[in-house]
Amino acid sequence: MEFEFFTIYVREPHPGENYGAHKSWEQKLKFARDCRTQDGIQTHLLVDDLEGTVHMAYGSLPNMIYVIEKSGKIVYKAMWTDHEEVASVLANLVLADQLQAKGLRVKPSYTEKINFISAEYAGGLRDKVFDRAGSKASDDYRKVFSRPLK
Amino acid sequence: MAGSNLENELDMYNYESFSRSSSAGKSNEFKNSLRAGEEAPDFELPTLEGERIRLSSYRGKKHLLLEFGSIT
Repeated sequence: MEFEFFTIYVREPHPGENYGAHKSWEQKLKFARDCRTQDGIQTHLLVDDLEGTVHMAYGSLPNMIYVIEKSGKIVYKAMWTDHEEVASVLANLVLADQLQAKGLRVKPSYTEKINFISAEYAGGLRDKVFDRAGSKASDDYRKVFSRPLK
Repeated sequence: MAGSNLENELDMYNYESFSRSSSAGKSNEFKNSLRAGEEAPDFELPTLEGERIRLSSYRGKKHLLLEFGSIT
């Protein structure tokens, strides 16, 4: 296997009655366990410290994604996870490995882009999140964005 | 008081209510921090089973994917 996949459990971005702000390490571990069970996470699940040290070092957004190549260098980062796009990034790393295994040279092509993703959270993800968190989370969200939830 | 400062910082990070200030500026912070081509900051974190994983232990061996997430 050329890849290792990690999910890093960080702070709760939409705290509510059921899943509020982390107050202790034990509570954070419990929420992380619930997260793994409820989302069926199959990767290694790492738990960031209570202060969010790793989360903040990588940019502190709630659903960031990074791909790091074997040398330890970042080859991809995105504010929000888009699985199709990530799959193409991983496929590119596989291709680079295959070319190098044949003795062919590869060169990095630095790329910048803005990827558009649906803000409507397909599959009822937003509803799922607020159902889990409790009504306070959706009330807070509504106050910020002043629009009805779908 | 060092203790109360620490508590304040913790409360700021683990905020009780999502608000405009919870997300304000975070996108730019993300864009302007680590860049493609830079070395990923090393860290060591525990799994739920208590095993400690150090990022740099994979160097030269595997490509890595890090996804950040939570339950809410």
